[in-house]
Order: sequence, then C-alpha cells, then structure tokens
Amino acid sequence: MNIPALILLEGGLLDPHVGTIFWVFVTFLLLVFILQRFAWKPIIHALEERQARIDESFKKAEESNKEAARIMAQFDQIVAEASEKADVIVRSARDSAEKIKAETLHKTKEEADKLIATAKSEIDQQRNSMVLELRQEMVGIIISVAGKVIETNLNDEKNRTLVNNAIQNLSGK
Amino acid sequence: MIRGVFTVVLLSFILAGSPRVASCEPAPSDTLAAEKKEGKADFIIHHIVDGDKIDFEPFGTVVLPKWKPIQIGSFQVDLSPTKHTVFLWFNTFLILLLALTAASAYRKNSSGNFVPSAIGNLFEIMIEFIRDDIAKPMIGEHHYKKFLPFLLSAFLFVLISNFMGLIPFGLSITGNINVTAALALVTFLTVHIYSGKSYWKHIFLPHVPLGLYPIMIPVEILGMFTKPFALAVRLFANMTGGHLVILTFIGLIFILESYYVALLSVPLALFIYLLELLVCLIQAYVFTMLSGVFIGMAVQNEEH
Repeated sequence: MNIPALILLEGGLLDPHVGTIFWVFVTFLLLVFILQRFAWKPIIHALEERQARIDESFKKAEESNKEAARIMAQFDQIVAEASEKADVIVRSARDSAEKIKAETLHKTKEEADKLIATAKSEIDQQRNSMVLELRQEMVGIIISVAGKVIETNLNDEKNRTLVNNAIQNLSGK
Repeated sequence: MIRGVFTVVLLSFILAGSPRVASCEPAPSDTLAAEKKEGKADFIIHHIVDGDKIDFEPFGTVVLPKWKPIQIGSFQVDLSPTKHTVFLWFNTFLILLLALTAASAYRKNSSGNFVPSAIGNLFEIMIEFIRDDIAKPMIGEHHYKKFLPFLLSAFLFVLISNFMGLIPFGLSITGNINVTAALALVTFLTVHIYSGKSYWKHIFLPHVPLGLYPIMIPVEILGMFTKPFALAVRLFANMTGGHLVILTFIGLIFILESYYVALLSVPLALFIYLLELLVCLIQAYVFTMLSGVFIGMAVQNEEH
C-alpha cells in the first residue's frame, strides 16, 4: 500500500464522509448550547461574583485601613491634648501649693513673732515688777538696817550732841 | 526507566526461542488483497480510518448498524453511525458528565461563595485560562463574552477527543478529517454570522491601490476559506501523524518479523506517546486560540 492509496482510496484517510460531518456538527452545537446553559454560565457567573466580592473586600480593607489611620491620628491628638491639660493642671496645682506653703510660713512666722513679742513684754513687765519689789524690799531692809545703825549711834556722845544740836536748831528757829 | 528497559530486554530473550512473529492475514479488501507484501502493516490504517466496526480485540468486535441513506436531491447521505460517530457521542457524554458534575455546585450556589471541589477547580482554571488568555486578548473586551461558550466547548471537546486516542481501546476522533472539518465549519459559520462591517470591507475594499484589487480580492476571498481549512487540516494532521508514528514503530515488529525490533521500537513508541500527551494539549489550545483569532478579526470594528 503506497501513500496515495493510503489517503486517496475509498476508506482512506482523506475520504470525505458527510454523515460524520453532519453528526459532529449537530452534536457539537448541541454540546455548546447545553454546556453554555448548564455549565459555563453558572461557573462564569460565580467566578465573576467571586471576583467582584474579592475586589470589594480589598476596597473595604483599604477603607478600613484609612479609617483606622484616621482614628489613630485622632487618638494621638486626644492623648496629646490630654497630656497638655494634665501638665497645666499639675503646674497650677504646684503653683497653688507653693502659694499656700508661703502663706502658711508667713502666717506662722507672724504668729511666732507675736508670741515672742508677747513673751518678751511679759518678761519685761515681770522683771520691772520684780525690780520694783526688790527695790521696795531693799528700801525696807536698808531702813531697818539704817534704823538699827542709827539706834546704836544715838547712844554715843557725838550723836547725843548731834541730836541736841538738831533739837537746839529746831528750837532756835 | 532502567527497570523498564531491562524488562523489555528480558522479555525479548524469553521470546527469542520463537523470534518469528506470526504474519498477519491481510484484510480481505479488494484493493489491498493485491498488495500482499504490504499487508502486514494493514492494521495501521485500519486503526486510523473510520469504519463501521468497533474493535475491542481480544474481547470482540461491535458491528454498528447500517441505516438506509437519506436522499437529498441527487445526493445520498449516509447517517448510519460509524466508529468515530460512536466515539463522538461517547466523548460528548463524557464531557457533559464532567462539566455538569463540576457545575452542579455553581448552579446551587450562584454567588460562588464556597470552596470549589477538585473538578470545579479544574474547570475554573480552564475557564479562566480560556477567558483571560484567549478570549479577552484575541476577541477584545467588548465582544468576548458572546464567544466564550464556543471557545470553552471547543477547547474541552478537542482536548477530550485528543486524549481519548491515548487510552487503550480509545481512538481520537480528531484524527478524522471529517470531524475536524465539522469543527472548523462551526468556526467558519461563527466568524461569518457575527462578522462586522469592517471584516467585509477588509475583503472587498482593502487598503491597497486600485490596481491591486483584481489580485487582492480573490486572495482575500480565498483567505476566508483557507483559514478554517488550515484549522481542520492542522488538527487532523497532528493527531493522525502522532498515531501513525506510534503504530508504525509497533508495526515495524511485524513488518521485520523479529521481536528484537521491539527493543528499539517500543521505547521509541513510548517516547512518541509522551510527546503526544503534549501535542494533544497544544493542539486543543491552538485550535481554540486560532478560532479566537479568526473571530476577533471578524468582529472588531476599528480599521487596521
């Protein structure tokens, strides 16, 4: 069997057969329509939906990220504001505390001064009265002592003369 | 691989006791009976060409019924089933079974909000490949949706038909010029039913000097038919060629009437078989892609 016989003879490779063409044509068209209706359409539809959903998810995730960043920034701002406020409060508290301390110190000092002054005056007064008392006592003592001295002296001749003179003087007058 | 070669060698030594292959009886065909010497290779052509018997040797042969030819005008059309027609229907059944099984989950839950099954995944990969790598770039964003079912079906049909030739007792119907011609006819009709104005303008009013019209117009008209013709012949020749080579390598054993030939021809046939695996896939892709290209040329609106 040579090559022309292989392809050209009846029952050869290139033998046209209308029946086969017809059946393939009809079957293939039927196949296309059945597959389109029951296989391709649902699968492609599902694929497209899935793709759309994934796209949407990505978009949403991006939006969420942006939103999160925005909230984060806001949060940072709030924190900064809060710390600033806290600083102010602490500072003012410290200021007022210092003021109160100074005031208290001042008042205490004043009071102490007053107390000291009172004590001093009292001491002075007491000393003065003591001095006065001492002086009076000393006067008494001195008078008594002097009296005694005078008493003894009067016994003397001299003193007798003195007194006599004095009496004379007194009577001379 | 080494073990396989070793087995082949061992087998051939065992069989070496009777190294003569019993010669085949030539087919009782009138034309072939005269050429007795070449009759040993008869089975090659017998395997490849269409017929009204399906061989399941050694389990027997199914003889297909012969229907009365239908008379259309002066033509007689024989619609009785042949070997290839039966395999055509078997392939179609197989494809429907696979595709409908894969799509059943998608029909129930149209939102695609579920984890696809294994076969569903396979179909998703195929659909996305045809859609994103063939339909969209070849046909364009505007029109591709209309032709996607055809391209997908063509790809799956050609692929399954090609692969059927690689399994035992199977045969690839795409190795029949009539089958590929019918597929190319579908492409041809699709192209010319959906062709836009610019397609016809390109044929009858091409952008060439007026003097070239007598040459260009016949060439363009010829081109209308050569494109699907090339589509049909390419697929047919690729599938037939591979099978012919495999069968010839096996046939060498019988033609040379020695088992020792098997040492060389079986590994070679195996190599071609593996090559065929690749060719089956590539040809299905090529057929689909060229169909896409031809459709794309027909439907695009812009001038080029």
